[in-house]
Amino acid sequence: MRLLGTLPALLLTVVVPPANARAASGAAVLAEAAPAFQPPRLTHFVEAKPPPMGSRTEAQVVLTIDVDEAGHVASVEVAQPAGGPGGDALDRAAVEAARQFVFEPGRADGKPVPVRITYGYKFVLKPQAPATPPASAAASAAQPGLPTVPVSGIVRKRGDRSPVEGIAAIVQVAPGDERRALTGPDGRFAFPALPVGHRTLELRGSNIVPASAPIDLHEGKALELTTFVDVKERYASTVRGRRLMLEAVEHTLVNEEIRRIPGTQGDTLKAVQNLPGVARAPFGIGLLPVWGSAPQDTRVYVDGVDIPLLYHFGGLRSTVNSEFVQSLTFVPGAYQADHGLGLGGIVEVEARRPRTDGFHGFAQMDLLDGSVMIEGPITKTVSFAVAGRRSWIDATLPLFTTSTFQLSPVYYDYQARLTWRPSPRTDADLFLFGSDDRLSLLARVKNNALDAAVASHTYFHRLAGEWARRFDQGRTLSVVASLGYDAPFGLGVQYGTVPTTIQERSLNYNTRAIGRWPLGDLLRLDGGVDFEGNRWVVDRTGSPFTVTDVVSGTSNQGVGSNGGFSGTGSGYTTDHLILYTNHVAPFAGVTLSLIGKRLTIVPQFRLQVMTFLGYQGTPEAFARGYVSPEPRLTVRYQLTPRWAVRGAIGLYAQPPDPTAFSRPFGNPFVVPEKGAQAVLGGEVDPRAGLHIEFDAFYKWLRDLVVPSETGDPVLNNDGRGRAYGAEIMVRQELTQRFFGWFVYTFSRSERQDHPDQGWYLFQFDQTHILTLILSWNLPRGFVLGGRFRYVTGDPYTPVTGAFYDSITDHYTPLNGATNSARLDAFNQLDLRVDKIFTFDRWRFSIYLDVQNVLRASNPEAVGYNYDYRISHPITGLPLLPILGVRGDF
Amino acid sequence: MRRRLSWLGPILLAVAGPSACQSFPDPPVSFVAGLRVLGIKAEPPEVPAGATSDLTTLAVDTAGNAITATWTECFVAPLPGQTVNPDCLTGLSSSNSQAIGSGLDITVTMPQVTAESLGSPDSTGGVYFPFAAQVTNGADEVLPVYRLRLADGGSVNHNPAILSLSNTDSSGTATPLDPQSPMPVTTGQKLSLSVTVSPDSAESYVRADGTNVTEVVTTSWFCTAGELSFEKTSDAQPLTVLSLDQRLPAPGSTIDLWAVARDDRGGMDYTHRELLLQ
Repeated sequence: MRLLGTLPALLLTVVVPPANARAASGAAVLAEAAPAFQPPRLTHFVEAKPPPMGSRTEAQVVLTIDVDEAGHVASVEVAQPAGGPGGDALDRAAVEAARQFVFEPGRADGKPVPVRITYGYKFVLKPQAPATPPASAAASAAQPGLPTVPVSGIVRKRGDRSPVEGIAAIVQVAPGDERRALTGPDGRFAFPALPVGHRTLELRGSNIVPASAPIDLHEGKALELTTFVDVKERYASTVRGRRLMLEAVEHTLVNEEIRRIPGTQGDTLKAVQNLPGVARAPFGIGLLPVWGSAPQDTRVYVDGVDIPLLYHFGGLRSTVNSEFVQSLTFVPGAYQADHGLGLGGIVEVEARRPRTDGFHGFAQMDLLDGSVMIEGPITKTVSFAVAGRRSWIDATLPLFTTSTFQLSPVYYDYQARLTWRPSPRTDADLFLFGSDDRLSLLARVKNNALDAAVASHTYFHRLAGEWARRFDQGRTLSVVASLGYDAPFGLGVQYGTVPTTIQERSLNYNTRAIGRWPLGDLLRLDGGVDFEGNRWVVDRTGSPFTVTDVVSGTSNQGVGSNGGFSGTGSGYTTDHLILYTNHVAPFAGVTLSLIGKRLTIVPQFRLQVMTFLGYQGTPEAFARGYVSPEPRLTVRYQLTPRWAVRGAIGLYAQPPDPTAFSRPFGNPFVVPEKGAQAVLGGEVDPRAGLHIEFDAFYKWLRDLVVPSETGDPVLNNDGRGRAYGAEIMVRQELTQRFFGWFVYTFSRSERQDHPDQGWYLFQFDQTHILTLILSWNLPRGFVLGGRFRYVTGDPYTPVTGAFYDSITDHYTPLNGATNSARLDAFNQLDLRVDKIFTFDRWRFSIYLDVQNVLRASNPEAVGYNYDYRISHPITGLPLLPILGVRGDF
Repeated sequence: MRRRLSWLGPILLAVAGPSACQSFPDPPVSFVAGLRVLGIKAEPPEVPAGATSDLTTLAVDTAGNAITATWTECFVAPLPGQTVNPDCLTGLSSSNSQAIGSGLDITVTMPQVTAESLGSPDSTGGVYFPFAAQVTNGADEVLPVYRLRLADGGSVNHNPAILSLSNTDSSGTATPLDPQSPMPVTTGQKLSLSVTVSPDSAESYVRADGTNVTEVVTTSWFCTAGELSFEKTSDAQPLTVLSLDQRLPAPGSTIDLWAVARDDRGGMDYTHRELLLQ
């Protein structure tokens, strides 16, 4: 939900302690907003210079304050003047002070939003005698003669020791004499003087379980306490990272929800696969086919830096540790001008800044892998976090298969982050992260036509530096630059004695700079530049052309156009391609807020320039450049506070895969693939915490790189595509007991390889995709969750016959019409149980994540016998229980 | 940058998919039942344009039915990555093919074609002209193809030659199986089988990538009973164990055993033995 209009019901007032005509620093929310909305929270209060108040002892100025998404005061107006003698001076003083306030921004659905609040600034003339006597005086009055001692302490959350703010520490020193102190942002409270003796310290707060503890105060001994309280888990939404522009359709995930989704093993990024518009990949291998696009068309960014792999081998785990994830934003399509180079959607991961409230960390292990993390402050302005993960599934996987295959996947990933906050307005971050996957597999398939050994090694490493500055009036500027080295794809298959390999390496150097400039309440300019450079080295041996899938018999049209692994076919050759790709795109957008800020129109423009230089220094050298003007438009109209409609349309382009430029395996003359996307939908919040979003989309694709009809050149840009559908997501946000998602997508995606050929179903065309997720918090620290999925089976190309090649001693299938048959539908129920043990200083949890509880026999592909006369479905894992433990401190 | 997991997917599907889930319940390729074509031998296996070669089809029908074969030749070159253009297999009446005769043994002539007209070379640097057969026993049908290698002026390939087929006992002594009389075997017996080929069977040639390599002679094994530990053997894995513990005929019946040796460039030889189940 976005909240762009005024929130007239929100009233903040100032409680003024007795003092000499001064304003106070405490604030209380009087009118509570819906849970989906969090009002701005005053983090920096500025005391007004008190003007003469004449004979008045108190006065109040009611202000209207516009707080922008960054928490800065955009404007202040007097809604109700103080009036009376000196009223104008009071008004001016209040306005002057309020202009210097700093807020934690208001949030709607977890996203920072501009909010207008009403703020009562109260001036109170300090009375001659304090309204509440000093503690020591009161004590003396209550128990004359008793000496006093200072008592201070800190209130921490049980389990992770984070300080808890806003807790009332109460000590009753005598009947009717109760002393109170409030914890600050650091969790600290202090009583300057409490009478000695046996007392009881009580801790009260709206967000904690009330607690009390006896304390003995002895003369001459100051008491310092550390207390731990159980914080009521009112799950906070994951804060979405600052987005440059308004997205028509985006989904921001909530960490506390994600951790408990069965089947994800608590992996934040795996939860993307449950969102609307995302087709299910066979065997859950971690692909993201979105809105009918090929998986490789969806781009993934971590702090604005593109990464090639979101998941480790087989989609078992994401390549970025979930604990490093501050937020995850998924835009399935029609995204805005600050991103480009992809015809699918975008996934934006915002890494979390290290904690500064002490040293924290965790260790976790399950059947798949183990991971550790530690974070904390180095100085007052510098903090760090380090995490690592390593798999041991290569040792545990054989427990779940009796196959003669020797499968040995090994992966690891790491993250290290250093954050420097030299001022409240400036952040500087250095982030080093990477991932590595190795897979070796010896396939000795006695009954199948395949006899191959497979080895794969993929990895990426990134060093990114980010600097962000928040200026006055909501202006911001952020710059991120990164350097990386990747092997996004590496695979070797030995067909008998014939090696076929592809090894791809990339040195990449990227920069993004984004600025925002509000011009008053109704207009904002956004702009920046996006540069991605790569030096690719692609070594390849084998036969080109897309070959048929040896298991399902389907070709890989539309999924990849970079050839196959035939070692026995014609055209066997080798290639060494060095390709420089440099893509730069200036972009700009204007956000117009009209009709009382209910209508938002965001026209944008991205000028994408792509250059390709290959085989430099050889006779095969080529250099090409393409300019792609990409206008985009987003419109959103808030019909009522609960209803909104939205739409977006835009043009997109993406560079061909680097391997497509290979002279023997592809075509140096291939051009960027292009597309247009449109979406129209809406959102409604029937009640607090319940969100419904619905969208219809249409996507046109052209100039897709496909195998040519003649084989010379191997590839060309004849391909076209279209995808359309509708989706709905009903999401009950986390309460203290429950959350749930209902997600349904209806879609159709088709491809046409050449103009003289017919349209066929895209490989990931799934008519119906239904996901239902429920989770309950049970007593005694138990959490129970369930996920049910129903998905239409993938299309596949039926085999109509086969011929026997005497030289290779293999049968080769003869295919029917492309993707003219479908697998049976997929349905699966996953369950997850968590048990959390919370101690004062650390927390221990154990979980059991069981996939496919009902042991549904779900076909993932079609298998054939050696001569393709007998076919049968290849099913996914019948049941996979994953037991894990985790400790946090 | 693009993600190439999509490409890895089909490969993993092909390879890891079955491993993760189940093994195929179907009879192995080495088990012969009904009509099968186990190989086609050309003599010589590499000829220039206009020259002839004798094709011998190793076709068997365990039911004892008569087997016939009808041959066509096809002038459609394979696309890159293909061994044979599927258009050559669309039927004998296809305009892409023309009939050249019938019979399991047939003499074919390499047409007056150029190497360029036969598509791109394979990994061995060779191009081939396809001869397709329709082999039938009246009830069933198999479509085998023999691709006759076009001699390019370099060293011409020759067929490998199987000298013997032996059983190695537990003491390591290899005893050749007599081609004239069946070897007596019992239920549950394990035979460690291997073939010996002539020393000149594996010839040297220049691969497509310019590498000088020596052919690897690979032997495919077939039988009408039992289970083989390896369906293909070579110098790297010379032995395969035939376990006579399943798919057994009635006692007193014979079990057929074939070994088909192939080199890298279309050369082939085969041999046949019988086992007598007691």
